[in-house]
Amino acid sequence: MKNLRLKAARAVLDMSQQDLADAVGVSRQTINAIEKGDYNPTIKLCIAICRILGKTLDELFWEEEA
Amino acid sequence: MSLDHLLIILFFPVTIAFGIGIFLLLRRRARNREFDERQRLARGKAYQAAFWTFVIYSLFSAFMNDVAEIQWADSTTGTFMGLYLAIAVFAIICIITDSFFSFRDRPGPYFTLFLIVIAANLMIFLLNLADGTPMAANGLFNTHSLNLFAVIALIPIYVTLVAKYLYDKKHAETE
Repeated sequence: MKNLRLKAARAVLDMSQQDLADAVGVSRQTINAIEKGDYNPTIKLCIAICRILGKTLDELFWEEEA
Repeated sequence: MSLDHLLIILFFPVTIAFGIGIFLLLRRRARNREFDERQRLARGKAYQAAFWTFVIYSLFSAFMNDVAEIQWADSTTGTFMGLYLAIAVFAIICIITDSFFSFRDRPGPYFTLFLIVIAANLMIFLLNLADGTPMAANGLFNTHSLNLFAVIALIPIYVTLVAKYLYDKKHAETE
């Protein structure tokens, strides 16, 4: 499932995928894969992304109620 | 003790020291190559695919040799063919899943390096051919043909590298 909230949070801070990747210490392709829903990150990476984007785990990674 | 003996006595420790030096340099370089969690996962799957490729090739080769009595290479050459095949599978899967280069690597120099290695192997093969060195004996490929098989394995890897680079460039995220 695509993670549009992550993309939106990144856009609010005017960060590119590469910027976010550099900030959390992963490759740009990994951020791309997370946003496209092709990869489920570990909790460690989720927390690192949340810290950089100033969001909580729920706001970025919790599945939305149908 | 003659000079020849002295040179031989000195040769071994110098060679060993050189080998250890190269090993430590490569190990330090390898440690600086950091792969993120997704890349490590993808590389793990690529290793599995390469392992099973080698196993299947070995079983197929053994079956063909012992049961069908069809042999295409001597044992050393045959083993190396399997290794080349497995390495090619590993590299191609890694390239496709963006886990061939660490996220700290600059891929540029590797394109040139691949071309140099392909050219070197091709040159050695062609020189052997020009010398009249036989690539096969008793209808079986021998170790003199390994350079050719290395080229055959490297070319698809290089093509995949270039194709992936062009594909990524075309589909790069637009801001």
